[in-house]
Amino acid sequence: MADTLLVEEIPEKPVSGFVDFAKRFVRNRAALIGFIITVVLVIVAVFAPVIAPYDPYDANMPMSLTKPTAQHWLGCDELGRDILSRIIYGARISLRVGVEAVALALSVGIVLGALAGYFGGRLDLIIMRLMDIMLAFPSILLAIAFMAVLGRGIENAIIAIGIVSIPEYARIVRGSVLSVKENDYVTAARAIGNSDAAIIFRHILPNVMAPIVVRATLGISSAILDTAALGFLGLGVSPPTAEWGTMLGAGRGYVWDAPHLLTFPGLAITVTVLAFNLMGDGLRDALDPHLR
Amino acid sequence: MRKGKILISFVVVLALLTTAAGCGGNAGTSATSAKDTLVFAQGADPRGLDPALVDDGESAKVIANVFETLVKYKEDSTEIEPCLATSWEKSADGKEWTFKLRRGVKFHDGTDFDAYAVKFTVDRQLPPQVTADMPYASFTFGPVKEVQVVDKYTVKFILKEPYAPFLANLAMSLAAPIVSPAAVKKYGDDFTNNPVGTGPYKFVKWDKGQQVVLEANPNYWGPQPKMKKVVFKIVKENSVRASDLITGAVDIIDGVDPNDVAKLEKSKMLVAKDAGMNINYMGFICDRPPFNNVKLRQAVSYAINKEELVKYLYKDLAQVAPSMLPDFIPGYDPSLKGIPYDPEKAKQLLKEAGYPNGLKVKMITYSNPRPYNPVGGEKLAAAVQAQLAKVGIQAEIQSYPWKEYKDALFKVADGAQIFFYGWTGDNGDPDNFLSLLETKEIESSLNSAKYSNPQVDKLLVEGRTTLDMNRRIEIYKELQKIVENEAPWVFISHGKTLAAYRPGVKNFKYHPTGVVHLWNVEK
Repeated sequence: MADTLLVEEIPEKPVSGFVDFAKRFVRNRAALIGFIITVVLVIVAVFAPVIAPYDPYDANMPMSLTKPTAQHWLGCDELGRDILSRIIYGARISLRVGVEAVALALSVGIVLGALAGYFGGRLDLIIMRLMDIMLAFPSILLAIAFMAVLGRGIENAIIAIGIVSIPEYARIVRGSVLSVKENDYVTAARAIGNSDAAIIFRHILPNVMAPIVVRATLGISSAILDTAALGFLGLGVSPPTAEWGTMLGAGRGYVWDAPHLLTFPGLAITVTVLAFNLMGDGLRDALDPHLR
Repeated sequence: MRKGKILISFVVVLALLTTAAGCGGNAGTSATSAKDTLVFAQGADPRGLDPALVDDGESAKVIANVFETLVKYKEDSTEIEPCLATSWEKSADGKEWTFKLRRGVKFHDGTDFDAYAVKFTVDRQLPPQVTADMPYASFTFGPVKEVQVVDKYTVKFILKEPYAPFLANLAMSLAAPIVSPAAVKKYGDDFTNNPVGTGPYKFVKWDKGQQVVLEANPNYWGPQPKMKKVVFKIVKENSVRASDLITGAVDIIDGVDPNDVAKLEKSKMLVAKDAGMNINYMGFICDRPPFNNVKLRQAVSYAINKEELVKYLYKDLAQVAPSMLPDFIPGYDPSLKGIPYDPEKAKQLLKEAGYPNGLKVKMITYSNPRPYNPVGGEKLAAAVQAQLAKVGIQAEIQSYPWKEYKDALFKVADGAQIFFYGWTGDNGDPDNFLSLLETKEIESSLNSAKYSNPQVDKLLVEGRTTLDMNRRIEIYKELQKIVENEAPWVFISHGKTLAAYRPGVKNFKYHPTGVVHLWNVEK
């Protein structure tokens, strides 16, 4: 009886994992919108010099605080720089910091988490308590502290934000590794004489990628938000670099006279973070075996 | 090294957490200030409250209400009138000044004010007692050879040489205020946190970074101050200060952002815009390459469009500065026009100075608003950075909180080559501005450009030892011509003093010396 049921449930044409995933992702309207916005943002960032109507660093003081006009769609900032151009160039910084910080956190986090999960014991204890200590501080506070030591600059922001998000990835990876390491295929791999490294990287990690990918996508949005927060606090990139948080910080004195100095960079941050979050949620739904 | 960094980050995190906790506690205070309390909001914490140890306006404002001087300025000018001294006379050669002191004055700690206290105050700022952290000691008391106690209420100053600005110096809120010898001995280095003077208000407490609380001195020798309590509240953000005023959380604010003036006036707040005795400038570190090269300094000077800065950055709430001196100070020369904006000339001079392809410079600035620069050092630096970019000079900006800035500047941190700074005059004497370029003030940190020119030094000495004002003015005009050509500073603007107060506040005036006298103010 059970056997027949099982046979009936198997689809007639076996579909590949990716096609199945893509189908389910596309069916999720919100995720698709998030994905499209992200693609547009990447295009804007890559082709910023072509797209931007003005030089984002060209200050033209007589134009300072100009309201949005036909020439300057989003108006000008306090030094008379075109806000639209600055936002377009700002996308480069935000995406770069977002992706690179997550890449940094991911590479360190995966190694630490896999080591802790796979070997367990004292190593696990040391690594995870260290991660717990880092998690005890609000990540933005820790990032501020790192920036205070490292100084301003994009690279330093990447390092600071990357370091503070290591624990999240380490934890997820460790948990996933723990959940699969007793599986038969791992035992089998060990039995045929694979080294520990090969087992971790060839057999375990590929099988726990789904939650990591989801976490990383959502991580990009929080990294972008952290970058903006650092910039707002005057700790991010150094002037005159166009960065959304910095623009917001510089514009906050003009909230009464020229609210467009705050509105547009704020919108840019919101939309970007939303896009990555929607996409991350969509990925999770599409990759989650329980929802299949 | 790495260990050190980790430790530093750890300490920073702890400090931040502590600060955050402190802020949380503060949120509980009531929205409007009490009826008998006057709340004055300013942009930064005082550096200290010992008059001998500080040189910043934020400290001077508090000190001016807690301490008193032998002579004082009139309420709205820099003319001198009696205060702790009731009368004085100088000898024919200008080297001996004798002061008759007011009787029956007591310090807040109950000890007597007398000639010994005056001698004590001055002696601690004279060699051998003077220390390196007394920035005004040499400025104010440099010419003093010794102080003699003639009797309990008569004191005599012996000067090394005739010194024209001497009496004006004694009225300053820095270095000159008379301190309680008993309290200085009791608190030692901590006197700066426990100031004791004879002023109309006495010190109650100082919550660092938040507020300084003063209360009326019941034993004050003059008329009782109008308010029972005065609070100097530290509100860092310009816009927050402005909205605090509108909501009534504070009664008076200074460092008003030019962008907030329209909104404040619309909200029925009163905005005082008085010509300020100050100079907002950009300086070059003149004692090392590349800016020991006069041509290069001139090149950069030609690249700065001051008119544009004043018009758009300061919204015309400042005056373009053609020279160091504001126009109401004796010695101001209307024929001096300063280095004009001329980008072509700037490029040409850059080429002549050996930088045909432009250059990279490092600028340092302060992060908060100042009386001479209400939009703050970062915005000014960013505007200048953009102007310099147009002649091929790439500037990198490093910014510091005000408390760390002076030290960073003195030590020329981060390989700084250009810096932003300013000066609020102390006594209305031209020497007070011009001597900022004197060689001997390099060590005292006042000559922050580290500019040294024997000819300028000579004229400065001549100016201050000459007692005839007309002759002095001629000397200072000559000096300013030299300075204009040598360009150690780019004079940017003289900021109008912008302060705002609630409609109910009476008798509030911002003194040209950049301090506030709050004892006549009521609400």
